[in-house]
Amino acid sequence: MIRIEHLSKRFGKRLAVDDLSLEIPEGSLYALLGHNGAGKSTTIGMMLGQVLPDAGRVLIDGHDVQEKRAEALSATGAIFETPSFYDYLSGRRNLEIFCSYSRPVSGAEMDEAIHLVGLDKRIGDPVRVYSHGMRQRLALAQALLPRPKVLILDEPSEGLDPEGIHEMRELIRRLHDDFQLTVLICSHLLAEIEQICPQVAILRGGKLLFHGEWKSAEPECANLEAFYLKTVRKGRE
Amino acid sequence: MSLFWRQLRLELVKLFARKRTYIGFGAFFLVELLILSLLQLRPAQRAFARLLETNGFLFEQYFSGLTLAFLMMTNTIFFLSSLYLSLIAGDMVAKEAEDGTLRMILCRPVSRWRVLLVKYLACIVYTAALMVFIVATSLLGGIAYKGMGGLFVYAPLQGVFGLFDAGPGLVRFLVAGGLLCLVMTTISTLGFMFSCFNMKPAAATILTLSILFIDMVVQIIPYFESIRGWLLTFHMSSWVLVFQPRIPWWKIAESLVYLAAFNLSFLIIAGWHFTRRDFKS
Repeated sequence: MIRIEHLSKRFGKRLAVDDLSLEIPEGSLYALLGHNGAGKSTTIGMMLGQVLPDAGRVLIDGHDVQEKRAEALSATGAIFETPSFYDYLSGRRNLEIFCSYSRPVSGAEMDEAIHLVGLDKRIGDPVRVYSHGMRQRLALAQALLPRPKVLILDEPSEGLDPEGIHEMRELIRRLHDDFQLTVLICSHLLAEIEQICPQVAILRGGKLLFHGEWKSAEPECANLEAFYLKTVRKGRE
Repeated sequence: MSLFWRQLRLELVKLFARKRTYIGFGAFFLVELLILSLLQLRPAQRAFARLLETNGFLFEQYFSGLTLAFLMMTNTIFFLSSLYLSLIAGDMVAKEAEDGTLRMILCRPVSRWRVLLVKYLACIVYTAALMVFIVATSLLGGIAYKGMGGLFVYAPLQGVFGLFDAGPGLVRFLVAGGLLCLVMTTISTLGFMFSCFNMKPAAATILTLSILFIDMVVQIIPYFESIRGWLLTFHMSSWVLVFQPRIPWWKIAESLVYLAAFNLSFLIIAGWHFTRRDFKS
């Protein structure tokens, strides 16, 4: 579903992503892991056409993001680490604005997405009065409104309380199971990822250290954290 | 096409739902009132009367609503228009890039050129709305205060000395207002171009104002007379030529073509940069 081919990006002297190739199968729950500055957000930026690669390409559903942007991104929804909104407008108005850049969305479709993320009662309020959790849910609603096949989530649980993290996890699972979405999550919360994603890619210094099913790769590792640390240490050597 | 209009409509909703969008309208109105009050002071009226009477015209006939409207309009535009237009234009892209909302839009299946065009058109609509507001409030304010009367226009830099009866004066005033909407788009386009670069909104506003200021200073320095034809503010003041007894339409048209060329160049530079830059958190 997502195919990354020899992707590289340099910011000044720093090589943020170094010849990265990766394939994320259709319908999978996949995580992109790495320390700060490992190149995760840059990779996601290139997947979404916000960051222009120096070399390589990203294909979503067979379409090159750079060359066939409209086709590639028409089936992609995304949320970012700190989702930004027009705070002085209502949640619904924000959804209308973002959706206007995808395709016409009916009121019923919008209501369905709002209901799915549980914002029915507060959608008419200005976003400035939303809690962090509500903003994350609104971000998820806007990501779902193009009716995506691919969902790219950058730190979806960042800043949420334990209850919010649990809700987000359940929501992601539900979206994956009910709508057969391909979900790519970028996160620091390894315990969280362990519960959601069987497949991971680990980046370090822009290079890919591992990709695939972590449990079958190192069965002796008790959890994802142990596997991650072992992989990163190996990469450092 | 309907999606394009929807995007433009929502862009305008965004723009006009912000409180700061209206600061310009409020400030213009207050300055108009201030100018109207200052024109009631004796020294101001004496100077005005001297100018008219030394040329053989009656002060009472031309110190009228239309003349006051013209004075309110020109002074308000001179003092404030560059500031507020560059403020809003400088915000259009840079503020959204800074806030992160632009990233949310740019991950949608829409070309960057389309996003840019929608934002630019919204910026132009704002410019026109602000100019219409100034023209309307100064006209209504002047007429409400002094009645219609004749129109007297004196603009030495453009070589304009015009006297008109009420009817023709009103027509000239409205034509000038229409031209003002067109020429002022250059300030907005310049601000918009800087807004598309990788800089803070305030920096885009300051850069726009700096360029306009330098351009205006160069225009009034006699040594640079030969390059006046290349200056933005020289062509932007072409709307005043409407008040010459015989309107030099070809001169006005030439200036509008120059400004259109400037606008197009600014927009192409903006697009070139906007479509090639990275948007990161």
